[in-house]
Amino acid sequence: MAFSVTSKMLKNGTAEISLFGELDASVANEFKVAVEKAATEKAKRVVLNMKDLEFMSSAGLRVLVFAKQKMGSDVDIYVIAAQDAVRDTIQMTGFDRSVIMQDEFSAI
Amino acid sequence: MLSTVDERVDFLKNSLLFSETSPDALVEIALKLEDVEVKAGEIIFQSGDLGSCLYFIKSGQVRVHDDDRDIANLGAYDIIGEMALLDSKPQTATVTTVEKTDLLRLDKVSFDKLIHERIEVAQGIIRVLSHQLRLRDQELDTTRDSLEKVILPLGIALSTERNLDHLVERILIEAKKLCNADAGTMYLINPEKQLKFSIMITDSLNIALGGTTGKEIPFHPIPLLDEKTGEPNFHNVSTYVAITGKSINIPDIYQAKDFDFSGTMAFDKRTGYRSISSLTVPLNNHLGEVIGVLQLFNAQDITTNQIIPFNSYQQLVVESLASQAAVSLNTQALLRHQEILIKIEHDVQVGRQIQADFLPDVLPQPKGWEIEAFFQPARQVAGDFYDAFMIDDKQIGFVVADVCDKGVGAALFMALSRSLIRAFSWINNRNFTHRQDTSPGGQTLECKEMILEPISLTNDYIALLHSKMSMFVTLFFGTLDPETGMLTYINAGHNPPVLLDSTGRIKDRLTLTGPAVGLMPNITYSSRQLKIERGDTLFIFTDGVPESHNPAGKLFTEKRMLELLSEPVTSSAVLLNSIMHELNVFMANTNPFDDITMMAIRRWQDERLDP
Repeated sequence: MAFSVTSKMLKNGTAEISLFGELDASVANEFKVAVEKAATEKAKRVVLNMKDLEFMSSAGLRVLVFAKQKMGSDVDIYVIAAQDAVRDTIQMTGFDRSVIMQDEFSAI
Repeated sequence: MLSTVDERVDFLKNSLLFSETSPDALVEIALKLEDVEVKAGEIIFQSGDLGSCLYFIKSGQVRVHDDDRDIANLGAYDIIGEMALLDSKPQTATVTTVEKTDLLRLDKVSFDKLIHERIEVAQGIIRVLSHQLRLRDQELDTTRDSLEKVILPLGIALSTERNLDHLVERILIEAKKLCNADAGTMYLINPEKQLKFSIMITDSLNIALGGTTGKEIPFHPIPLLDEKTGEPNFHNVSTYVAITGKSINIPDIYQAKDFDFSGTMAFDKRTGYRSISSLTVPLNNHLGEVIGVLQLFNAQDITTNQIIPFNSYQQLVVESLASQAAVSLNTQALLRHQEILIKIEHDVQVGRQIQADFLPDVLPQPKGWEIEAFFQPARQVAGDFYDAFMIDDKQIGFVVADVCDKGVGAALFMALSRSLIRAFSWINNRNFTHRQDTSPGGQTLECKEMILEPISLTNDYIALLHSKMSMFVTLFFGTLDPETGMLTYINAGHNPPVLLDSTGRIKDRLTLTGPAVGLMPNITYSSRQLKIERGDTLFIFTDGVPESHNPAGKLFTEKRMLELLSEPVTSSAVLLNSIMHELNVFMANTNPFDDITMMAIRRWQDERLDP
């Protein structure tokens, strides 16, 4: 499936970004743009909805790393409902220490 | 207005067809004629029509043309339509009136009768045909001359001319010569979508600017689109030609109602010049792109030097020259691009050589061990790397790593990571040898601690100093004591290596002991230890193996890789070769998706008997 990303800024300062399809180097910049938007809008937390993300290459992981660095240590990044392959990639690299992985979002 | 018989007779006397006809025959003919008045811009007959009559033009002007171009302009005393009557074939051209025209029409039946009954009329026809034949002959001679002496040699010269300025200038000069035109301008379209004056020549005023003259042309470029409205500029003939790709041939610019020649007229006023006829053609490379405009002024009659309009033949030739020129210009641009690409290609090759230099030439082979590696970059330069080096005279350090991403960026990080790990390992080792505890237990603990420093330092280095790049490296770093088989390792976010026994049974997977390197600073890594027994093989790999794609887009998968490993292992080299063979068959002809790296570290079953 082709990649697409949608983003929403909720009133409580949560940036909700949903990812669809396959995230590789050719489309990673679209995801990056959404993260930059959340940073400009001073989001207090970022919720990444990955229910429909089928594949994430290292380029996608780099955007996650970028997100963590850009938003700063005060902003929590949630990864919600990551599919098996995507979860494996995040866990294998140990990046699951830097984000909060949940099946359904619940604020910590 | 109807004409009288006398008027007609007078007229016929002066025509080529009836000049030798007797007066009473002329009266007879005059009676058979019909007056026809045609308004300006009307079609008298069309190409393909069957001939039903011929016409004498009494007054006015008509244009003989077909779909593409004008063939001739005819006026008083000329005849039209006679060929179709003579050979009973359809008209070969269309005749349209340029202004209000009075004709005298002679129908086919009367014409046929006249030819049969009056020998002088038949002779008159022969005279007319003969005259036309001579004109054709002359045209043919001119054409042949032009082709042999100018067009063909010019075509050859154009295809070999490498210097752009010379090329463009040559085209303008030859086109001018061909038409015996007094002046010419070459425009080239610039990236800002304007017509830039490239060369300007006016012979009679001794003006030659631009091109190889080195003299600047003092005019501003003409925008193709109106600066205020963004609408295409159709008023200026040069921009019109550039936008539409159509040629415009104007007999007298002062009579041209469709175009704005105020610039030219101002030039005339200033210089005392008189611009009359103009021919403007596009440089169209037939890829649908107009890259410039060629404009000629004031074609001159060869004998009288009078200013005449550009004829349709000249238009055809100049158009052909212009399109050849456009293709040549395009070719030159492509050749220049190619030169740049070759330079970049060369740089990448150098990068590849330097990177190959970063990989170990020879892997350490301590007694009782076989260490082999396989490395295949997906592109010219790789993001994967492997390393194996002596940390001190006993311990071996080895690394298999994958920098996120591929290509030149990853390659640079690969070089950085491998250098940091080696350097920190050596420095570390030097520092640690100052410790005094030499008991085996103490040494084991030391290994566990020692291994952490290089990785943690490398992690901080990349995470802090290169955070802008968001790069990270997954790596497996191990130190091995070949005498005891004790392996101390850190797995930083990397695919868990597989420990096999000699039958191919999977004994262990060496899982994560910390996150990938470069993600975040100040990470506390941990290390683990295990013993590699005799006959065991440690298989280390990167993503490129399980993620290899086949032509249908399916992945090789780790499962299949593990199945391949479950065979008895007699040699590291054989193991790696057999996996690579399977991968090649699987990938068929597709380009590898990712760098493929594998390392196999096997301990001999029996030190004395192997291999």
